[in-house]
Amino acid sequence: MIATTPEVKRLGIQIEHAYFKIKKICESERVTCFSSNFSLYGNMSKRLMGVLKKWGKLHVYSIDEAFIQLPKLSREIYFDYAKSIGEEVYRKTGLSVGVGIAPSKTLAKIANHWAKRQKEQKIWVLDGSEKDDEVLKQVSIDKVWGVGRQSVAKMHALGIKTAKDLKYFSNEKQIQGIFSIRGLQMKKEIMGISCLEWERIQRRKQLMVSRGFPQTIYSLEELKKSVAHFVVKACEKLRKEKSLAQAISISLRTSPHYGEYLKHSTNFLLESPSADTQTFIKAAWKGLEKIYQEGLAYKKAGICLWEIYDEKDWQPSLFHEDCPKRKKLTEVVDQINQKAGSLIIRPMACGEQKSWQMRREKMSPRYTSSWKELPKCS
Amino acid sequence: MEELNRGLFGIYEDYWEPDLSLDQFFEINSPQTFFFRHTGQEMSPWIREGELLIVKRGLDFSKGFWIVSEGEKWLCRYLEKKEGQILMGTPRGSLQALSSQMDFFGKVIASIRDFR
Repeated sequence: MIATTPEVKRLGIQIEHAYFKIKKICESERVTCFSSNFSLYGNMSKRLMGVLKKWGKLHVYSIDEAFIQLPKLSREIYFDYAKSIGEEVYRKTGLSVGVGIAPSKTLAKIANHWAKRQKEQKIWVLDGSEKDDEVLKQVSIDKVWGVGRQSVAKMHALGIKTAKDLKYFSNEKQIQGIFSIRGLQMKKEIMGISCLEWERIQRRKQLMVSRGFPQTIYSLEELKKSVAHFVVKACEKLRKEKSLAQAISISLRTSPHYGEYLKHSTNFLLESPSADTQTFIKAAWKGLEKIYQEGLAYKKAGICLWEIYDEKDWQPSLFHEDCPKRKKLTEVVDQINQKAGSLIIRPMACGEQKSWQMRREKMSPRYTSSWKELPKCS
Repeated sequence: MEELNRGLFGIYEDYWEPDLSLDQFFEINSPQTFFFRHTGQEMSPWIREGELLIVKRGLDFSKGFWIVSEGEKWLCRYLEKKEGQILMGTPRGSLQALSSQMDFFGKVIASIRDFR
């Protein structure tokens, strides 16, 4: 499960549960399950962002999250703003959204988290003043944006259990010493002082593509095809973000239902950063050959590109060999795929058939992206 | 290959206008535009079986064809306001009040009949 409604959560069904484990309860409680419909999500996301961009400078954070830069106004007017934004999104797209407004991005995320807990209007405003404290004391520190699992334990050791505790923690030097400048920025952000630059948030540390297979895979050839496909996807994204990567990790996981549950992975470092698909496919295959074991039932594979640089920040060495022809070809392929659909043109390394691709038997129709699956009215 | 802007091509550029685009005309790429396929004979001959409907959400009410939902069904009906009440109708039925279980989805701004 990747998402559930509050009603389903109340039945004890959690997002980490596998479908076959909760199938019975879904049938008895008449829970409707849908397979992922990524084309519909993407299309609705595009519509959402299309509405939001009229409200101010828009930074899309994920498929269903965005930040808008608003002019400086009073707390009361912000409530009206939040209400109008939510209403416009619903009127134009049919999507219900939570809107949180605050002077910093971290505080805005908390405001949004709080907005979703409201029964009627899903809106909330925090302004960095003492008025925020009533909310902040109810937000546990692990729910604060940027606080990872490891940091939670360290925060607890300092007696910081809630967002409010962090806001009023007096020893800033100690925070910086333990959590580096990021920790201090987090504290200031909760105080309502904006410190996180958008470009810094956007810059990735790694780019991961992994999938579980509907059936177990035994053959190296099939695994190579799936891994090649993941590399194509990752490199396409890398180029779109005008970035380069120098390292790749390849991982394989066996099925816990067929023998021993094993996880294998390996890394491969390129001589110089690249966004070239073929270079990474070669590296990924080398890694795959190293960790593959005949006879094992593989259930999941993945790749992760890391050591990521901004394309414009990277200075090629004197001996760097560039291949302008291949670069041009990649540009053309990217342009065609962008217009005609992702992976219309792809390396043969990916194979013709995607036997390893996700099973989506319960997928809702592609209402917004397929002429054959439009909603019907009578 | 670079183009040479000589003779008629040079003059043509001074008078260049963008191609006619139905996407632009109906604002197809707007976040609030959706498509529906009409089925059945209920609205015939106004709207026929198989016609493609272009539907816009978020418009203020005005008389015309609207998509309304009733439970899990989508209906296309002619709606108009009389004495403050919204009434709905079909080609063969008289105008009647909208039921409380019905919700507006959007207004049909165009219907496309494919003769191919």
